[in-house]
Amino acid sequence: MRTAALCMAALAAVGCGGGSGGEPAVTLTLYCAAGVKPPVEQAANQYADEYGVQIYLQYGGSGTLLSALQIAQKGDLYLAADESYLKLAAEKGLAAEAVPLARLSPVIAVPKGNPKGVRSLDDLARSDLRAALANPEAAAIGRLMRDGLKESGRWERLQKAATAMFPTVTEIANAVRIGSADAGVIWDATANQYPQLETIADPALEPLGNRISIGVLSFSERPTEALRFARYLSARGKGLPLFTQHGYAAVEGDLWAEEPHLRIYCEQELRLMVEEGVRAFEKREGVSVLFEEAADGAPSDLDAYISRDAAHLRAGEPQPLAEKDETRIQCAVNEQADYPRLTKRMIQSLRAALESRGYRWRFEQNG
Amino acid sequence: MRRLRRGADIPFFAAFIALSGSYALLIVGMLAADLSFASVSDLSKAFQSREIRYSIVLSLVSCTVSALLSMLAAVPAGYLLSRFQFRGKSLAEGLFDIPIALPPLVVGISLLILFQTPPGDFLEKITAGAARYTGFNALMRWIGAPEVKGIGYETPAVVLAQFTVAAAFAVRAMRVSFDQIDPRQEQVALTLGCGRGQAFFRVALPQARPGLLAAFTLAWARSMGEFGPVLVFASATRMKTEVLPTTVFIELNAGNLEAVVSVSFIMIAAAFLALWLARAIGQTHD
Repeated sequence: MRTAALCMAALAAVGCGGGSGGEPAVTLTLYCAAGVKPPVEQAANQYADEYGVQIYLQYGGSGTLLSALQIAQKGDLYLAADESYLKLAAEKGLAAEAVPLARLSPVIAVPKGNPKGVRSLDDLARSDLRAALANPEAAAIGRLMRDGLKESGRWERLQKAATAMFPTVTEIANAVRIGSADAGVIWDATANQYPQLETIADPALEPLGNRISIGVLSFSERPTEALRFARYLSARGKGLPLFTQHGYAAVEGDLWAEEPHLRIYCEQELRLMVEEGVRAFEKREGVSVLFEEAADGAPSDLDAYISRDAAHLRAGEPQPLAEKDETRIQCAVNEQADYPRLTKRMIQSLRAALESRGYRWRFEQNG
Repeated sequence: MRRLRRGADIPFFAAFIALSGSYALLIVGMLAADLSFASVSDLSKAFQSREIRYSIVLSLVSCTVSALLSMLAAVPAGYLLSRFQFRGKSLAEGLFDIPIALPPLVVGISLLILFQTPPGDFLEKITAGAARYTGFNALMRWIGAPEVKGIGYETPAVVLAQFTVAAAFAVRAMRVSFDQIDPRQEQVALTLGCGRGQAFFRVALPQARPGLLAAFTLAWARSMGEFGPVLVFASATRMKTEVLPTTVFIELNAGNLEAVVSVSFIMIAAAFLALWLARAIGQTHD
């Protein structure tokens, strides 16, 4: 009760500061996959109310947006319906951090009551049935199906039998809804937005799921503000419930704090080495990282542990952090703490920082 | 005196050339920007793709068919609207403007829904039957093109989607064209014993030749660029209902900007060639 009141007071203070201050209001531009519009729009409005940061949303297919932002070289965030687009963006040097938001699984959509008696994916190749599929060139779901079902020869058969192909899942859902197609393969989250549709799961489609993710664009002029919204969208009590509300399978997220404090244990002799990377991370993410002193063994509720001695890693799985010559530094992220995802991003950026100083973090490479 | 007038005209020409020139510059600038993006090898790669070659052919054929169909509707509609006063004429004029005003996707979704109704379904079946029993599908098989199994999501949907919008533009063009022709000559023909039909075919239509050409090219060019209705009503199925704007959209989605620009060039070249050809054919009879 008291924490709630405190939160309200803090919010009010932030709200006032944003409203009366002479500084120009912060705005962010987010390229958003059109299929994910409902929860993102709601989260953006909520964020604007809470923190006075206006977020401009630009909608389109994930691939279309990637082309657009590549040419425009403007904007702050990119939300793709498929994390492979963010990987592609990272390869092109367009995006940095990627934060997962929700899981998507392909399902077969049919009109309510399933009039054509569709039971499995193979039914979509039946000649008495008009099937709609996604273009593998244009839509993530189409590409995942092509790559995942190619070897069994199923994709070839399905594609040949398909009555129509569309560049987005929304068009497939519309076609089934109107009745111009009898069945189609779409994301479960898309199907949940159509009460007129019924879904059928198929074991062959299950491994083809992927994650909706948001990334910060490398040319963003406000990476810290952009990351803060990405954290908000992926936070347990903030953005993620909106995804669940709209029928998405939200991922496990961090707790929300405008400026989270990470508490980490780091072996005294290694402090100097990681200091620089930690400070750079603090600045970019707009967070603070505190080194916890531990004379006789660190407490087990810290966010991360960095040590050469595996016995000092008091929570989580030991992972490689950096290695040079005789030194092998390991780390562990506490999944039970409040910010496991943020902590993992810190480890990633520490690895990158140490790598640029001649350390390796892929231990298995030299084994 | 003359020299003085010419001097006084300088601001007029300067302003007009500057205004029209800046628009021309914008178009040239866009083309030049495209050119800087794609190379000749990108263009030849685009031509090597079987899907893109199919979409070029389907675009050219469907545009021509839909432009011809547009003329079939636009010539009588334009003539009736231009020459006669009748009850509900303003309503009819407004009706022919609807496809121009509607968002393209709405045209597509409306066609799709229309063909889910019983009359639409009946038309689907007639088309499928006709394609099968007239030997049209046999011909399609022979040239390696997809058979026609109905209208929606099949090649006829491409033509119908293009026609729906293009015909509205053609009606406008034909109406203006007939408006500019003095009806007196047709009236004289009528007094000299011609029927309405004779007066139209022998007097009005020959005079409307430039207008016919303009309406046809307008309908053709409009069909070439048509995308929204085609996507919704005909889908984006490769090697079946994929036309050039669909190719551009698919490649853009795939992040293949080089192919996008290459296909755009193919479209520009095809449009230039077709419009030039239409003009040349129009002039040979003069």
